[in-house]
Amino acid sequence: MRRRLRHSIGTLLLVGWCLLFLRCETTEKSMVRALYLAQNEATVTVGLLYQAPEASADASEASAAMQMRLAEESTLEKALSSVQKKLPQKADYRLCDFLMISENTSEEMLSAYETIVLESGRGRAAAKASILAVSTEELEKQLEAAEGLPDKLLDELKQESGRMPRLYQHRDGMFWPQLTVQDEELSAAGTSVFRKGEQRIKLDAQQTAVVQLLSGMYGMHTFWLAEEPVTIRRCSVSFTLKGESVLLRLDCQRGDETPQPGAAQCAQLARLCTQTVQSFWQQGIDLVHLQQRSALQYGVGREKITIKNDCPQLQTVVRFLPE
Amino acid sequence: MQGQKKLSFSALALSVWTAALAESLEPGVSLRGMLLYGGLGALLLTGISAVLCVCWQQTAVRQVWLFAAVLGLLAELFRTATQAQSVCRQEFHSMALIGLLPLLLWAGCRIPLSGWDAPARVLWWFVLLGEGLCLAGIAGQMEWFHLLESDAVQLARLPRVPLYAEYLLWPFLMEETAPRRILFLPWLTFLAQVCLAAGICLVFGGTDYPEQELLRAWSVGIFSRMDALLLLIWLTCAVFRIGFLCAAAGELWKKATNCRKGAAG
Repeated sequence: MRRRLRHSIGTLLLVGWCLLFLRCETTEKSMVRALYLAQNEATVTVGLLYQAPEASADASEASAAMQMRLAEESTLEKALSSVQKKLPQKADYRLCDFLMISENTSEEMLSAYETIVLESGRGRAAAKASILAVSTEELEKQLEAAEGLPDKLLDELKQESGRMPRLYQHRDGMFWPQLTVQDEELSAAGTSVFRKGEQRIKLDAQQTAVVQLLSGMYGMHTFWLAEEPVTIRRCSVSFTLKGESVLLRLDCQRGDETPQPGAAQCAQLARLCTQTVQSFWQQGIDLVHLQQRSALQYGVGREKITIKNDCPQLQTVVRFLPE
Repeated sequence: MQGQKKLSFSALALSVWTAALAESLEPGVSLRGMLLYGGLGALLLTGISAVLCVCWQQTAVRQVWLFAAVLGLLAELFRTATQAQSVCRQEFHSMALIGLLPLLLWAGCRIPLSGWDAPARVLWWFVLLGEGLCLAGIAGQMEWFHLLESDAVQLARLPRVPLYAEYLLWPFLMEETAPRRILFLPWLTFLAQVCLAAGICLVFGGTDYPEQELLRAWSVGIFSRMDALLLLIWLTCAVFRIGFLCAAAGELWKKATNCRKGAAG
């Protein structure tokens, strides 16, 4: 009898303990899908592109319309807290895959945001990053004027995500693709900005495509060669190092609607690639990691090519796979 | 005694692997340093484990050692429970692990050591599946040239070499005919740490990022939310480790009390 009582009390205590920690939390949350970061002279603006569905929100296909809220404060932390308060439900950053910044956002600001991400999980270090090439005031105006702009923004971000670098790459320097909003229409500008520390290099659409091609980025790349558009679907880039000279070879597969490019077009593309690598080298940027390739071939510390020296002799060969 | 005979290598190995995956890397430790010093550490621990095994087998085990072993196992249990609770709270906003802990401890005490072999075998398949998935999702972000940067080749900082109770106490839990591979448990930890360091170094270019961020970097096309599943696999392994360590501590406690009775008799 005593043993039975002891068992019953034990079971009751066990169940009570389990129930004590049972907590019912609502799944209705404001799911943040993208974060916008802009820096003015003395203030920081943070924008959250979010979805606030009425049912379970923890799903990427939750169907509520996208919305955007902005807040301007003196520091990043304050701006982030302030904008979170403007959301209808508690902010959840689990699906926050994109980061947009304004053109004048500094490297320190990016580092500060990355620290917040690592410490409090408000975003992810692997978020796809891009530049929203409009001022905060203009963005606010456009958001008021165009009703479906936040939805379009997310669609465009998803569509361009293959060309976007990730936040954790910002210290090594990276190419930030630009998005523009004009006349309530949002589009990928095709241009990009290389940012490393305080260094900024603006690239036009052609240069951006060359850089993406040399980086082995997936997706279609279109070039105007001999006044004709040439679309490249896939490209394999290989390097042969002989001392201080480099042979760069591109084996390309053209798009379905592009006719087989001629020798002049191949030579033009080769020239473009050589010029791009050389022009970056002169600005202290080893675009295709020639120094590391040399270290791999000759050993660390015995490299024949270093970024401190002049650009190595570079020869580029472009081949298109036959039909 | 029947339970002791059937304690398997896979259960012990899963317990060690689970603990090693939760071990955070020292910031600033290079992959090269991890390979060199971590390898040396594992070699040293293998030697210590072998020497202790011979000692335990050739000398009569004193009761005080058994009580110390129980304390060691309980300390490991506490550490794993803390890590699992921290993952639950941070990633899932849940206190469920604390709620379930008494139930887990009760189950750990009730199930004999031999009973942990079957779940361990099943969990190993989940672990392999999870690791394969993880690799597939981050392979596209790995850049080989990070391995040749100055941060990746410096040897200035020493990595932490973790010591787990399982390395030293397995002779108490197994029969004399334990497989020789059990001596290589420290190498399993070394492998887990090298894999983690290599993944973080190849993706982020440095070891200053936490392991969870590596899981968050997972993406295949537009689908990029596998981190929760991978964490759940680790949490299941952590639940296994808590139960397993509890069972091991219970077994040694019984041995210690029998030893005491024998001495008194």
